[in-house]
Amino acid sequence: MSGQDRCPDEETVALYALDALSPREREGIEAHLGACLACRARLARARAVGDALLVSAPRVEPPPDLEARILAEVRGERLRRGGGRMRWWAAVAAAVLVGANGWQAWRLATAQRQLAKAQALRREAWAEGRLAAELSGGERVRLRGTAAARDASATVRIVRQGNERIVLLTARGLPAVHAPEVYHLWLLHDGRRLSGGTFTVGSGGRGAMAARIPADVAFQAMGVTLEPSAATVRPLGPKVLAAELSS
Amino acid sequence: MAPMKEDDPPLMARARRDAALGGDPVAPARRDAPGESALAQAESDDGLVARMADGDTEALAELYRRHGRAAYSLAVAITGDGAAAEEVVQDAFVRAWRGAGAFEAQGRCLPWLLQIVRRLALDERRRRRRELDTVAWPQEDLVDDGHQPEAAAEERDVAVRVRRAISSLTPEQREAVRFVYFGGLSQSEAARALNIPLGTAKGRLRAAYEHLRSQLEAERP
Ligand SMILES: [Zn+2]
Repeated sequence: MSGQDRCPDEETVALYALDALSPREREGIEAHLGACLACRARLARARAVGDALLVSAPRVEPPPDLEARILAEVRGERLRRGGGRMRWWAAVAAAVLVGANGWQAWRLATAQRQLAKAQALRREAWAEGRLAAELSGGERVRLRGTAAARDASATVRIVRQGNERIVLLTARGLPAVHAPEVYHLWLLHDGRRLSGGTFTVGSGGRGAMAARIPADVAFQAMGVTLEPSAATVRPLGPKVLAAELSS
Repeated sequence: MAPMKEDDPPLMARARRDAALGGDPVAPARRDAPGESALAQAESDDGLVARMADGDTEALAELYRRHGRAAYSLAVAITGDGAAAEEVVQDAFVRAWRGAGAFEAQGRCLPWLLQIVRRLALDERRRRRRELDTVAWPQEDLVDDGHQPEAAAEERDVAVRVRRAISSLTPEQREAVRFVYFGGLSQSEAARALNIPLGTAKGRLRAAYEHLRSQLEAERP
């Protein structure tokens, strides 16, 4: 292995191209590049081989809504960074609707659905355990389909904005709903269940919602149930998604 | 070793440029000046990244329309799981968005993006402790790829050339590349997984690299 002043041998260049070097070996090479023009050219050619391998994967079509999901996340983030002149939920709604482009499934639950209005409910075994990390800002939590919806999965992102947090949920693989049925996200806090908002799903069982919650409330678990209507204040229907507990 | 010309564009940069000119049908046509050549109208990937750095989400959307399929294909090949690949691609584009201000890979935007995808996909594999046999690529029997009519001609051409080069490796070389580059193993982990001495593993990787490089460089028009 070369130090900073010795040119790496061909084997090392090959291992560099295929990303098989340890971080330290890699750093050694990169330090050497600053001083050696010839090696810069060698390593550029090596890197081109690794780069070329990346386009060789068999083509698979991404799901049509992936673009909208990426844009929704990025727009939510920009909003959070910029701090809003708009009320956050109006901006998220606008961003989502503009970005949705045929993605009908987005349903913005209601920022108006204040947590103050949500009913605190009795502690019960529904929680399944505590999330390993307290959900405080910028986290992502995966929800897994329960026995009632084995193909379902969802991601919840929580981003902080001032003294509030925005909860963004995207789900897929959920069974279709028939109005006035809705899916309802519940957050468990100190044994109390708070409403996170409701949503419905479109093709592919995809759905999404955004809601806001106070920044200082720690949640230990979350789950989604299928409810007969948006008016329920505690879960009546089956649980379809539950937080995937990270060990 | 022959000196590399400074103006010799890497394979992928050419593919990216030509793909942009070739008019990916998914990308919206920018034809506000009828009669003007596509050459004058196609914005470079670098230009898109510069606009992303200024907070232009439409530039990100355009980058996705150009390269989302390549990103997703790579993520599926590495993770072996469509849902995981969606997460990876979403993360990768969000990171590209965040990293646009620090972008220094001018002329290598697609490799830059795909390396982000590759790293995230490998992280995902490690997180799930996927078995190595779930790495679907590269395999010898996947060289033909008639089912990608949407890919721009030049991009498809590059992919075909790379696959041809891969298929001409020995099975042992191909396996070593698969374990290391698409499976995320270190040289010594790969040696252990293949039950061969470290020196043999390094030798296979070197031989594979030399072969790929000579094939890819020889095939440049
Ligand atoms: Zn040198």
